Amino acid sequence: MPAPAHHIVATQPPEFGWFSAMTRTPMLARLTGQVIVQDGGESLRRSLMMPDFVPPRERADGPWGWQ
Amino acid sequence: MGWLAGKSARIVGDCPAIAKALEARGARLVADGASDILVHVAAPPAVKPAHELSHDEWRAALDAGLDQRFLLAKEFAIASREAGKGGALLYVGAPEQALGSDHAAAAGALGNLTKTLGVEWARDGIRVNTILTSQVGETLGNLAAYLVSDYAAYVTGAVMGVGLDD
Repeated sequence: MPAPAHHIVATQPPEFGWFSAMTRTPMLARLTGQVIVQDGGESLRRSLMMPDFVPPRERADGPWGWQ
Repeated sequence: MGWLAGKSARIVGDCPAIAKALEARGARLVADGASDILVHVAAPPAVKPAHELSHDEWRAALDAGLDQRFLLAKEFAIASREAGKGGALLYVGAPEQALGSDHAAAAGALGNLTKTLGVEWARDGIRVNTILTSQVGETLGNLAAYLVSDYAAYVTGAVMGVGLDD
């Protein structure tokens, strides 16, 4: 069964922290006034034809494997 | 920093800042064929008042700013699925309201396309994002490198700018 949305937020994958940290570095010095949602596209699902959401870290073949 | 070490990246269009940032993070740039990362940069169309736009000019802007982007994404997704792996797709262009009505229509549609493809292909591990900005510098390159990296594994279907004017 897919994890409920609040579970995703509660676990706080490190991806959230990584980007927060990047915004405080000179790498993104000119980035401002932007809203960046990190939810794997879950909030954009609008119709039943769209596939069920599976958080990237819960996918067996996700970018970080089983880490 | 090797965020993109071991990944191949194809950039369609011209953006030296993005090419430099991707290479600096360890990506191997490829001219064509299959790749782990695809960046599509559309050159902005000439700015003309709406009442002076011909149908051909309108169609050309929609073709370059939307049709070609979709066809490239479809090709990328098919190849990624066949290879059994995910991928990262990034569209780059000018802000919606910065140019003429033809670009506004293409960029507005691109936003919805980005959201739909991002959701439709999320489970396949194929992420789709868009940067609409007037900036061409280092921050754009670094933001692009972030968005196509695994650090942005939870970012898909996002349309963003760089500065306040975007």
